[in-house]
Amino acid sequence: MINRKRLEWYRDLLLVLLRKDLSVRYHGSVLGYLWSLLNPLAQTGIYLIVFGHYMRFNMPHYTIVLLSALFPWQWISNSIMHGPVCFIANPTLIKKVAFPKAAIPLVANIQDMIHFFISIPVYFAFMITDGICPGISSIWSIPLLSFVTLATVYGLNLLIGSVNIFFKDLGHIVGIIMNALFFGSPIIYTLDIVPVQFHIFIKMNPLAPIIICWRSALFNGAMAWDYFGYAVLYASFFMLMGIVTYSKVKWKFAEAM
Amino acid sequence: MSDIAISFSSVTKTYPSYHGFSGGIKNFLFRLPSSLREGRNRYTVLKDVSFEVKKGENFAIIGRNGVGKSTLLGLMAGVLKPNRGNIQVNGRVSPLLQLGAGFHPNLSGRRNIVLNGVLLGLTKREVLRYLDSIIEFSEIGEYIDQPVRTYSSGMYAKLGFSIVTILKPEVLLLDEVLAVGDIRFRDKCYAVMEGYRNSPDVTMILVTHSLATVLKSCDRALWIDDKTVKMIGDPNDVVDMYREKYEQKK
Repeated sequence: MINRKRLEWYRDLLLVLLRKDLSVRYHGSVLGYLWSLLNPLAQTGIYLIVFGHYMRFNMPHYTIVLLSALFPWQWISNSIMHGPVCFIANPTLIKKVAFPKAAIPLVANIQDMIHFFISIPVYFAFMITDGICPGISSIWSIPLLSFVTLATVYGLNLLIGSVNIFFKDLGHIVGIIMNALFFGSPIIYTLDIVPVQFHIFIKMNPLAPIIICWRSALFNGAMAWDYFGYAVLYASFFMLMGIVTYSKVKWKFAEAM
Repeated sequence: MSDIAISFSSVTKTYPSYHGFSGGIKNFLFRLPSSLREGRNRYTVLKDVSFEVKKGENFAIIGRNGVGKSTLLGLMAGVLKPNRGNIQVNGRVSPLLQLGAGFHPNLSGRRNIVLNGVLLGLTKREVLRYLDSIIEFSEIGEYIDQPVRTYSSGMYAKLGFSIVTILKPEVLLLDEVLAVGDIRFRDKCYAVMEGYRNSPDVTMILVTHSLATVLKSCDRALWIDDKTVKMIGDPNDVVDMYREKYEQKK
């Protein structure tokens, strides 16, 4: 009985915080939710001009290829870039309110996930306009990959957010690393143009496997099972690191802020 | 054991001292030897503090600024953890450590009630059941659907106080929050506190500088000074001693 009530409370806590974040995020902006679409679309436009036209990447459906990785990347990068400040941006919640603080980054990451979901129909519209039919396997691959992605970014958030309270330089480091990981992942290029001897570096990049899976699912309508294994491995690793770090130092949060 | 709401046994709380790392890498490197030493230095705020609060009591904590009163409340609320010693709290804690903590300025008063109520540990259903009585008690009236950033500080305070007091608190922690609001609202607050005094289900811990409030609404008082419990007992005695010590120095 007690446990059921506790579960109901956890659910309500997440829902209430999520609703707050969703209504606050684009508060006062005219285009609101459209921004989460316009950002990756604008980025796609830029890469299309630079790589598609100036550098003449000869790739069929390059727009769709870009979009199939940039929409998921937008979610991943938004969530991770928010990681360093996920706790320190909420000083009163940490210092003055008693509730499980791990809910704060979880809600922020779910929020980014919801914005990603909103962009999926737009992606499919682009796909159909370009004459490609979305694969039926998306029905199960999108939820599956979303779960793995959420685990990856949430684990990283717990880890980075906890450490950043005591070591504020981390925020700057994360920015640089994310830039490296972006170019180190097959986003503006595809995996098959990377020479095979460099594939080891792609596998070493913790965010590349999940991006490869996303593109494979969204563009090819197939699951890249070999890379999915790596993606799950990284997700579990970051979840473990995040949970261990968070539970070790969470008691110091309030006094260190 | 069941009639004890809060028990502290030889609780010690220290805070880090900020000299080394917090000044950035430059200061850290320039003063490496002293930084390393200071890094381990911590200020002791509370030392071997032990006391118990019985269920249903109205309990006051008094003392001068910076002696650790708010730290005590933070420890009770579970926001802070002790470095040594043991703290036991029986019952759901409703802390009001800062007025409007957890409010989001851009959300309406109504949505903030739900947000705050859930943060206090109640389910949404329970909060909604009390929604109307909170709105009524807070006297916010028609402004309840306006964003709370447009509220005056008095309105902010009233809303925050109404939420914690109406939402069936078990252990209510109030940190210096009664000095706000107009006379009528303050009288209502005293009436609520008087009601809690007679209720065995609600334990109230009050940190305040208003000695009149301590005498009027509390069953027992704790005077904290010099990192430890200076005196604990009947509010009249404690307040008398406290006054004697600090008023004669004028």
